[in-house]
This record gives sequence, C-alpha cells and structure tokens, in this order.
Amino acid sequence: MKANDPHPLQALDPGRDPERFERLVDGILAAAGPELARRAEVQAAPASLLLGLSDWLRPALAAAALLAFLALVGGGARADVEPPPGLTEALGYPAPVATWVETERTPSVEEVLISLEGGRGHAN
Amino acid sequence: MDEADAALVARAREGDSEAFGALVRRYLRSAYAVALARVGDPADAEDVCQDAFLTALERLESCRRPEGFGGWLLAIVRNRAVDLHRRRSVREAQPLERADAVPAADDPEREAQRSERRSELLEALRHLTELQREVLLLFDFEGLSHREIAERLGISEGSARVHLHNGRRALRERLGDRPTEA
Repeated sequence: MKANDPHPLQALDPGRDPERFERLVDGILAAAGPELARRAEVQAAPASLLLGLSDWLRPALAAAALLAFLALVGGGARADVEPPPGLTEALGYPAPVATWVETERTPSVEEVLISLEGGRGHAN
Repeated sequence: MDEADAALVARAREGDSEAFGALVRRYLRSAYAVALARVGDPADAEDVCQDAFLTALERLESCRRPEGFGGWLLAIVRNRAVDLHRRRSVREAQPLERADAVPAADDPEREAQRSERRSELLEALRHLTELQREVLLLFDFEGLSHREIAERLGISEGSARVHLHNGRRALRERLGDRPTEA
C-alpha cells in the first residue's frame, strides 16, 4: 500500500495481532484479579450476614414466644388473687368505718353508735 | 447482541470478571490508541492501558454514566499517560526503539520490515499534536466515525473532523510516498 492508504496507522493496532491482543487482555485481567475478588467478596457479604441473622432468628422467636406465654399465665394467676386490704382494714377498724373513709361519706349518729358497739363486740 | 456498557459496568462492580473482561476487550484498542498518542512508545502504551483499566475498576462507582464508560475510561488513560510521562521525565526519555514490544514472528526478515515500518510511523506521529494523534489512531484502529471519536475524546464533532484532516495531511507529508504497510 502507498501513503494514500486511508488507514496507514493500522500497522500499530494491537488488534491486528490476536496473540498480542489476548496477551494484553490476560495481563490486565490478571492484574485486576485481586480487586475483582474483593468486589465479589463485598457483594457476597450482605447475603452471608442475613444468613447469620436467620440462624439467630428462630431461637430468638422461640424465646420471645415462651416469655409471652409465661407472662399470660402469670397475669391470669394474679387476676384470681384478692386485692390487698385497704389501710383502715389493715389498722383494725370495723368494716363500716373503713367504708365511710373510702367513700368519704359522713355517717349518721346511729350508724356511729352501732359501729362502735359492733366494734367493741368485734374487739371483744 | 453485545451486552450494553451499563450492564457490563454494573456486573463488573459486583466483581464479575467476565463482564470486566468484556469491557477490556471492547475498549482496549481505543485505550491503546490514546495511550500511544500520548506516550509514543508501544510498551509504555501497554503499561498505561493496564494501569488505566485497573484504576477504572477501582473507581467504577465514580463512573456516573456507565453507558458512557468508553469516554470515561479514555479520560483515565490520558491521566495515567501524563503520570507516566512525568515519571519518565525524571529519568531519561525512552527512545522509540522500544517499539518492538511485539513478539518476533516466524519470518524474521518480514518481522524486521514490519518493525521498521512501525518505527517510521511512530516517528511521523511525533510531529503531530496529541489530539491529532488521538483522532488519527482511533480512526485507523477502530474505524470510528467523527461523532464517535468526538464522544470518546470529549470534543466536538467538527473539531474531530478538523484534527483528522490536518493530522492525516501532516502524516502523509512525513511519510511521503514510502509504503505504509510491510
């Protein structure tokens, strides 16, 4: 070919020599190996993290279910227990007096007398 | 049908060596053309290409337009060539004798002729501007259109056309009527 060849620089093209071209590609890929491996590892990391979490998920759910069951059973048992006595009953006052205090109601004279007699009687 | 650049880039980001290999095969000639235009020596151009592809792989996340991977890569090639030139300038510049980085062929005489021809071409290229060399090498290596060359080099189509025309004329003047291919 003469100088008027439309593509004279093709003689410098590495693609014209397949062997050389592949050698170049192989060299680049070999050098890129560690970085590609690192990227593949990073890509795989989230999946393995989820797998690790799933290993803990079942025992954690079982423990939560057990705790919920115990809480329900315990709560039911406490519902059967009598409420604790009021302060007036704890101090030994007669029941009517305790009722007046709790309801903040003013008793009549007769009620007071009856209660006192009952209280004596109760005390005796 | 060839897989699109964006898909290959996405897979390469995940460490897919096959996808990265496809990108290397697709753009190695363009990268080499730009590298050779910048450093003027085939062996150095190969080094620049390897360096540039590795840099591109390490920085794939910063490739904002994966569909324009080629242009992005060639910008890296240019930068790596400049870095190599700086390192070379510290030492003594390598002459063009290193053009014979290609393994010897079965026919030594024929290979010698080819080698001589490559040296002549490289010498002629040295008298062109960097941009003229880039445009010419891309045009001759890959047969890219003016528009494609412009896209890859980040210049206007008109500029690509002018640089190709002027570069071609300057190259012919340098080469004269000597055969351009062994």
